[in-house]
Amino acid sequence: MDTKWAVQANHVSKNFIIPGKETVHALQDVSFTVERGAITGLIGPDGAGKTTLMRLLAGLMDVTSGELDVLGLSVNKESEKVQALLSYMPQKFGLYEDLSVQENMNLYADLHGIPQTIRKERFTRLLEMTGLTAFTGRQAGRLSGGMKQKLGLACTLVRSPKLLLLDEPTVGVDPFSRQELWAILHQLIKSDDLAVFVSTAYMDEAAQCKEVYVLNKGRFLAHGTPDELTQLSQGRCYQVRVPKGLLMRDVQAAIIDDSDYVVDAVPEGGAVRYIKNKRNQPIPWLAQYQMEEKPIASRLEDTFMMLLKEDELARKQDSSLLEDRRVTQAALLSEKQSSLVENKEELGIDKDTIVARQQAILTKEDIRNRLLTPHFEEREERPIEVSVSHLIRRFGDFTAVSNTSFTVQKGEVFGLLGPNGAGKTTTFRMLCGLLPVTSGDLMVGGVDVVKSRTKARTNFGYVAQKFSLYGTLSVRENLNFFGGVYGLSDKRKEERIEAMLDEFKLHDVIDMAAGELPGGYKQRLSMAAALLHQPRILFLDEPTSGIDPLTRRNFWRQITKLSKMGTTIIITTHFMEEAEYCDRIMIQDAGKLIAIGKPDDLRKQSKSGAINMNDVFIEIVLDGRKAKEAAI
Amino acid sequence: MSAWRLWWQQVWAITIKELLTTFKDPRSRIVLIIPVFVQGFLFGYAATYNLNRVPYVYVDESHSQRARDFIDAINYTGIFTLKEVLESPSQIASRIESGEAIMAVVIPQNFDSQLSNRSKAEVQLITDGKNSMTAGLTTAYMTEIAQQFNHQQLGLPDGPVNLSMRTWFNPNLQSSWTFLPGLIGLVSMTQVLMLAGLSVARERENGTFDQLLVTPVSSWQIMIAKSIPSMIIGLFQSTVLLGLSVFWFQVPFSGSLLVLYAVLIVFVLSSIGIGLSISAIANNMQQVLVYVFVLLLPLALLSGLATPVHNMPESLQVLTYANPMRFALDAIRRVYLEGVGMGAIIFDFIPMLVMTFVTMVLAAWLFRNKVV
Amino acid sequence: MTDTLRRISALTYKETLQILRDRSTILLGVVLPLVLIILIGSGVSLDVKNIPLAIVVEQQDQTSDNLIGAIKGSTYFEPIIVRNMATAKELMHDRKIDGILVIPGDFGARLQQGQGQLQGITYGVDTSLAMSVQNDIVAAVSEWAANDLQLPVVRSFGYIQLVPRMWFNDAYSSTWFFVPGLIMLIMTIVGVFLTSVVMAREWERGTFESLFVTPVKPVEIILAKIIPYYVLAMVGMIMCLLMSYYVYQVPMRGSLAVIFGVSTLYLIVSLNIGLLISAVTKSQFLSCQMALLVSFLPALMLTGFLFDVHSQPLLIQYISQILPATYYLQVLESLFLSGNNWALISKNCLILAGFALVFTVLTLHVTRKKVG
Repeated sequence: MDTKWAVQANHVSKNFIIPGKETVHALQDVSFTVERGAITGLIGPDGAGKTTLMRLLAGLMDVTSGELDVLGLSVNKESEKVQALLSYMPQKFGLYEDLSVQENMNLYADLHGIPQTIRKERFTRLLEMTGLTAFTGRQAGRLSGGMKQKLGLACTLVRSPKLLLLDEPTVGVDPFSRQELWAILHQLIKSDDLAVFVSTAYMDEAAQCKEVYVLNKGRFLAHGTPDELTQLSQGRCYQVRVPKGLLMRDVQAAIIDDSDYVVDAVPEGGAVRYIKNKRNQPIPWLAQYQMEEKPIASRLEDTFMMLLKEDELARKQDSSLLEDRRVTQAALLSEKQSSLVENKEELGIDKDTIVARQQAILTKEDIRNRLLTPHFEEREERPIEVSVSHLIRRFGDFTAVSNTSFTVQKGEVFGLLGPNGAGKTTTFRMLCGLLPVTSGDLMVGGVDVVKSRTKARTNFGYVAQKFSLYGTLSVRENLNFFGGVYGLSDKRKEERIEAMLDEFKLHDVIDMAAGELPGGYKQRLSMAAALLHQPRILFLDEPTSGIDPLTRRNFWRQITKLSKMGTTIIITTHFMEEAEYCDRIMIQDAGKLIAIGKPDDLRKQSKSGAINMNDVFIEIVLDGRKAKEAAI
Repeated sequence: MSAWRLWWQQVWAITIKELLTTFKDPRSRIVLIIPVFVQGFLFGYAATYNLNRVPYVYVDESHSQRARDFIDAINYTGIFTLKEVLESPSQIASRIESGEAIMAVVIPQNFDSQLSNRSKAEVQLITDGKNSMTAGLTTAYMTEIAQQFNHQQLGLPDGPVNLSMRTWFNPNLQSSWTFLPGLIGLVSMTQVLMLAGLSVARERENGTFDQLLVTPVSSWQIMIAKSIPSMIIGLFQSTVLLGLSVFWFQVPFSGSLLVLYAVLIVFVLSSIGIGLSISAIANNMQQVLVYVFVLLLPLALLSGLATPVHNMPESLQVLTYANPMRFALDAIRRVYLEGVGMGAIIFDFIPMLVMTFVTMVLAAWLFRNKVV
Repeated sequence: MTDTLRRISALTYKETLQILRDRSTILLGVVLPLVLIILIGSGVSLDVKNIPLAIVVEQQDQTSDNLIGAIKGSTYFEPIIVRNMATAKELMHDRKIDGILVIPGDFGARLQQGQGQLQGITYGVDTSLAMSVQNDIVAAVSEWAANDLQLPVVRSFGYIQLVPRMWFNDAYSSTWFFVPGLIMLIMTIVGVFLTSVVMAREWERGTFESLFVTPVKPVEIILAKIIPYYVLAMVGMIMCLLMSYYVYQVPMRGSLAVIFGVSTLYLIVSLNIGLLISAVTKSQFLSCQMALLVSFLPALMLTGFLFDVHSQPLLIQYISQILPATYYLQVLESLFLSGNNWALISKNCLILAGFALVFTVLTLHVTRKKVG
């Protein structure tokens, strides 16, 4: 019992045997330890086996082989004893929706036998941390997505266990609460000497762990302290400033496209940072566009992206696995097929021209040129696509959105940010006609959404927060369905479906049931369905929540392309760094619009001179709250 | 594309989707097919008021040949099965209380002497009133046996009045003849309510309903498209039951299939309307299931399936006007057994159509205006 | 031990809150029983009264007036006098009447010769109605013949007259016999149907995954589900008892304690069946269908509630022997209508206890704290 380790795993494997299908090797021979009195992190893309690992530790599943020792006990044999000692927060915490916040917490406190004396102080702290103090009487089913997540966390933390397992606890949670959660974790470590094992998609969180494991496809790619891991990518990280007249996301797209030289690129603080691949050679064409690269210090995220990309490449090359080869070939083939169509669309050439220039194959250079040529006319006043004036929504005497007005121009990428419960989702649902407005005017795509909802919706594409296509239908059937309801003619439907399958590389899963697709595929399918009818406006509600960084890069690359083609995009997100991709963002808090503008403009509003969008956001919201208090 | 074609194309797309989601899952395919057969056979065999193998006991205090003849006459019918010969009437109570026997016959000591004296011999007949229906029928059968015995064995002349009974449309008074056609209504309503009810609730729970609502289709289009699979399944199950009763249970079908299906279509439509309204009101699948159940039992009770409607008090009869099953059962049975045409049942259509209209309008309104 | 109690009470409290908040649960557990008992008590009855009967009087004379007078005097009929068969047929076709009695023109004359011929016709589309009408016509005519006709009869022997008595149902009312069956049904609905759906919802929504890693033991989860639904079912039952005793004067001849005791046993069985179904299917829709198929329909059809078990085919009788509901209903009927029959009570309680044991063990075996 009194060893240093809370968890010791030796050669643990977990297979899922599905009758009639190939056995899935979810975890293959993994060995690791979780230290007492420390936070150990687990990072990895979707389908890496993170949740399986957590469930094994919690005794909710049995290992196929290997030894799994939790708190000195064998989980397999004594799962109930182990469960009495640990707390586990599943990815989707099962709240009782018709119970209030307080009642949910009471239930878990009772189940864990927390004495009344401790309970009061503990609840106060947890409620404060999660910002739920004002909502204790509200039924859990009526909380916003992020608030539910926070309540799940509070229920898990009603007691201090010996081992705390958290499976992506901060998905959909705003930066404030994330900060507070981590503060609590650090405090718990100190005061209660517990071990924490947490999986996360946020690298800034992983950086706060003592030790981090990187999991991919059931195997560990690396492990070590965050510093050690960060070191791995040292010397391969660079940034370039974005020249005048160019958009950050266009530059980022041009760089990330060039896989001969780079493995990853992201927009950040007015510049684009990127990681070079193993050869670590300078990108030859930067000078051509008056850009100059500058080495910078690496971060944990850089290492993570680097490891994943390299693992992916290694797998592609490893042709010993027949299955892998087949999939890869299919993927390569579809990439080739698609290059023709996609490149042309991106250049904004109309369909007739495509036919006329059927033979002309566009090179990478053409695309890059298009991305990096300043188009000043695009920056000028474009037609207004969405106009919102004096929008109000009340639920009973609760005002969810109060008197909000803004406009979005054609082809703009417009971000909606705000803490959980700020009214983002309500605003969003009203914009796409899912929720009637209490008062105010709403013109979207030139149609009054309040008056003629059905007509307005012809112009919309919509991707919901949670995967919400028909799970039992195959990919093709889903696409056929959406083609049908958007009224595409048979011929055009076929064309568009083909184009979307190419665009989102869905050819090899075309007959699979949508519900059985891995996370990244689901996200692509959602996008494909939303874009099938070439909508003028695309609504995206937290499309990147719970999605790994690799998929997120691909996702934003698509957005860049769409916006080039003139599609207006309205998006909500909790990844503040993603605000850098947006043309303009709007920040709401407690139902009020508190800031709107370009990322750079908002950065200027920050008095402390913060660069990082996360910090800028926190500062702006806090300033807004202070100003409000002062006014009262 | 004309607006009209577009409209139908959208409906068609949703319909295909609905059909796929309903039939793709092998488990739900099973659930749609097995119950209808189970119910068909259960009702076909179990639902009978025709007595058979009724267990009885008797006490013979006269110990005479005539008494034995009378008992033979009872056994001869095959309706009654002798369980035990008792020594004294005091034993009867325990046999009936325990359910071993549901009828007891007591032949008195003076049975033979009374008969020889040309006067009446009173035979006591005790029935188990815990099931009043069976008890009543038992008494009726026994009365007939006694009359025949009087006539044949005792040479009692035909009474001054000879009443001959006939039953139209069901000459042997088989209760399955009534139940099987009625079952067509009950089963299809149950299944249709459930399917239509769950169709929207399931989409709400899976989040796909929002996705559907942001597409440019109207509530009416969604409703029409959602009605089609339920209609297909309702008609399919009705057809299965119709086949079972005609070919397996050999209940002769005397009407026109065309008229029958016209009734079924209107009836299923009204069930769909109720189902979709439930769907629009309920927050989740559990509530739909419960609401369907809570609605179904009273609807079945007030439909005339087991007890005639005009036995009910006026106030309840008024309530039954909102019950499409009542009118469907009436129409189906009459078309099936009596062979009536459209003219005779035209008034059955009106309440069903009114119900369809009201519930559909309600559901369409609720789809859009219910804030979840 | 105190930990166990504390956890059970916490979970029970949670469950109770959920029941109280979800209108649909209350609807099923409390409102539905009330609605059913009101419907059954006040209107839905197998006892036919005021039968609309057409009497075809081909030639009016004193004899026919006499007979009509006798029929009019009976509470069973509401006669309509018509002149010819065609009119009567039309009335039947329009569903204005349920039976026809034909008094031929020569009835009076032939009666004088002791050979009066009458013809009765019933409407076979509704069999149970036709049976009642048939019995009532026969009874009315023979009563009239026996009492009103003072004709000399030449007999060589006496004749048998049956003296029927219906035990345990002094009021000859089907309400009496419906009440125990209704209580059985409600126990089945709450126990199997509601519990399985509610439990399946926890599997579907993933709330179990969160519960499983708390120190809760499977047996505690099961107990905490059983307790509140037990109470809910009991509330439904008590209301039925009160209603039937005070409003419909159904006698309660057995001991109230035994009624509660045997109901507890049956509830343990049915709650466990419900939990078992949900643990196996883990889906609300499938649970609901399974619950209907294995519990509700059999309880309705095969336990002797609606249809006498003895008259059903042997296979179906065997099935009814393996249904817990059959044994429960037997005890309930005897407790309500006849009194404490200890032999029956102890035998059936033993069988129910056996079922309870088997299903509890099975449920505990299936409900393990594992996912996937």
